[in-house]
Amino acid sequence: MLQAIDLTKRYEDQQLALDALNLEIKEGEIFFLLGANGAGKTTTINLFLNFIEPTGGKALINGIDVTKEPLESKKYVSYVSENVMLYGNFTARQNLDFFAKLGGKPNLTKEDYYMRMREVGLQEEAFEKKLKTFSKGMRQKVGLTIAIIKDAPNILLDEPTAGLDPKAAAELMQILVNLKRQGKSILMCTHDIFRAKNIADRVGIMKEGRLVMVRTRSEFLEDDLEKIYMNYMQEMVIENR
Amino acid sequence: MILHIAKKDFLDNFTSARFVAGFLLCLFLVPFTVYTGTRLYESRVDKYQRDAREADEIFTKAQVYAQIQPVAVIQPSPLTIFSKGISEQVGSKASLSNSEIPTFATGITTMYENQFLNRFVSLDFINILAIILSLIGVFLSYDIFSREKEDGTLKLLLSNNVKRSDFFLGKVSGILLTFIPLLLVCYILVFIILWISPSVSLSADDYARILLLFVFSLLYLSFFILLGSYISSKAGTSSTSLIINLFIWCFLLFLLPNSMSYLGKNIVKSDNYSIVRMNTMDLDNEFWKKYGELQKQVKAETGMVYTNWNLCAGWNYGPVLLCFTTHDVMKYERRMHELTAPMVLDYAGKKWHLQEVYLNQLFHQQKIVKYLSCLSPSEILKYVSSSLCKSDMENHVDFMNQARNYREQFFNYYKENKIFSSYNYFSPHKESEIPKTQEEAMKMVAQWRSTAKPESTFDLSSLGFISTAGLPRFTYNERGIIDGLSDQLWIFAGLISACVVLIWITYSSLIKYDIR
Repeated sequence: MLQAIDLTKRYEDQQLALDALNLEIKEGEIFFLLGANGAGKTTTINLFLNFIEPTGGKALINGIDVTKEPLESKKYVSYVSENVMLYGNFTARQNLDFFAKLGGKPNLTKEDYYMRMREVGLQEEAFEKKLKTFSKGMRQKVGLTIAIIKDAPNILLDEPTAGLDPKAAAELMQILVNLKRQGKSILMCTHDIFRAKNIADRVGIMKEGRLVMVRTRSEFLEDDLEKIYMNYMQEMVIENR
Repeated sequence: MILHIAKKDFLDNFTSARFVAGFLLCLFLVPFTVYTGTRLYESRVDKYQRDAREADEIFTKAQVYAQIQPVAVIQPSPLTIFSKGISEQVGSKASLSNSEIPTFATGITTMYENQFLNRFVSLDFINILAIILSLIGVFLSYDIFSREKEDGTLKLLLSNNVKRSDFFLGKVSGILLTFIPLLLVCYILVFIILWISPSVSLSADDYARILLLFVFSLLYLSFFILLGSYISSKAGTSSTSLIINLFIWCFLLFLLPNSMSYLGKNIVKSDNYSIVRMNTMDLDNEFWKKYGELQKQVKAETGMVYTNWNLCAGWNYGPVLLCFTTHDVMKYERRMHELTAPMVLDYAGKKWHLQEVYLNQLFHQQKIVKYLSCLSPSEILKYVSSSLCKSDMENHVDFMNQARNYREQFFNYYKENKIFSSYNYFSPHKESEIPKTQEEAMKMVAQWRSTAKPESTFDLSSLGFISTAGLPRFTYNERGIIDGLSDQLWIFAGLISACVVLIWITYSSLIKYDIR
């Protein structure tokens, strides 16, 4: 379970990146965080991963305060970034092996890695190929496999579908649905309203560091999420003028 | 965790194009340099053997004691193949005459006799390590953190249960681990070339020194890896880090040593050696004045008016190898040698005071240049290496001091055994064989001429050789590793301190490193 309680981040230049965010993502829930660039989505993820220190409030992973016990909290979370480059000189399997050991899974065999890569739809011939020959979609799948192998109860994804072709994006969404069925709490930051409508259990819209709206699946299907999102975006454009 | 990250980095670096390129460069340059160094060493060994033979012949072919002006010769060390130091600039033998205490050694050995050829910097194995390996170090470490950030792997890595300190130590250890096989290959290449060279034989002491050289090379590389890591932790991007790293590398390896050497020479000025020679000439003039007075005194003392030398084959402040000459002349010359020889030694000592002042100026200048240029790690490597390879200034100074001490010991032996006042100091005849009259002397000359080889006017070998068995002979006692390193201890400690400081500031920087 992921929890943000009055989570606030103000940078040294006094810019308020996140303003008292309150959020709770339960087990087996997919939460999509939508918003324009600079709305505070990635800051939220950075705070959950303790990459930056909050200036107020707290972020909890499975009830563990990430600021007080950063190493302990990281045992319970996996992360997939926007542009997974990984180590180009290593094969997909070698990359998995490295991150699996970092994630506390030292005893996995070659077959375990192959099985996981099959699960995310990677072709057999890619398993022992160097990652520098992979397309972005294939690298993203390897990144997701790393998250799956860690088998943490919470998964944070930062714009994972950016730059992916529709087929690859759809495959990625299917994997997230499967992970949700396994009881994982999933927080995904994205601009992709289409994917949100497809698989999200709840959607939040962020604007200038504040979570301005949260809708459940039934609510956003009823109210037309695209329209709500565009209204918020237009408001922001007018305010900026 | 540290080991796991280090292993990953080792494999990643080991298969990288930049490492392979650097490795191939070493494979080409190291054998080439070592082969050239071995040829040079062989030519120095040849010269040493000739010099040693000649130095020995001074004793074995001496017919009178005044002929013996010993020469101290130092055997070249095979370790100069690793680091030439100043061995090419200074000589390998010291001529130890009674009239002068040597300031400098003579017999500079250069393999390439053609002085019209342009020459680049003196390249040896350590120079190659200093330049090429530090450059590979820079190329492997400039993006140690920034590349992970740019590729997004830093976030992924630190989203796991990994301490930043473990990450830092793992990354740095990974690069260091990459260098160990590279360094080992370089050293193995050197050993292969040395083993197939018949003239090179290494002692146990040499192997111990090479081992220390290996450890020190690794420390030197650690400095550049840590420096690259620090810059990588501070620079925004890998390209910025590379530019800063390359600038600092050029500054530390080329600009700093040269400018510090120039600065040092200007801070501590030394006299021109010709001024020292002019001052010693004043003492020479004083000596000759006293010498003239002594001649008058001895002539008055012995009643000698005209000294008729029937056969004399040399001169050393009086006749040397004076033969078939009448007893009264011999007596006069013996008395002259008895009085002038200590005076020659005394004036050599007086001239030495002037020479020593000049030498001390040079040593002081060298020390200042050394202190200043040791701000550059490559200079530290060169100083410590030349010390380990017995090719530094301290080793040369030690040889010259031992040679000077031997000279003193040698001529003290002459004094104590009253050799200066003996006939055998300048004549091969025993006192009883010295002719009393000129007629007797001429008879002896005629007899000698009948036995001597007709083609040689001065073949005096039939007159026999003196026994030099009891005379002190020069043996060079090499400085031990500890003695050599104790001189360099402070610069060695300086480099270790610099590495420790770099570890600390890089770690501090990484703790605050913005990984977003």
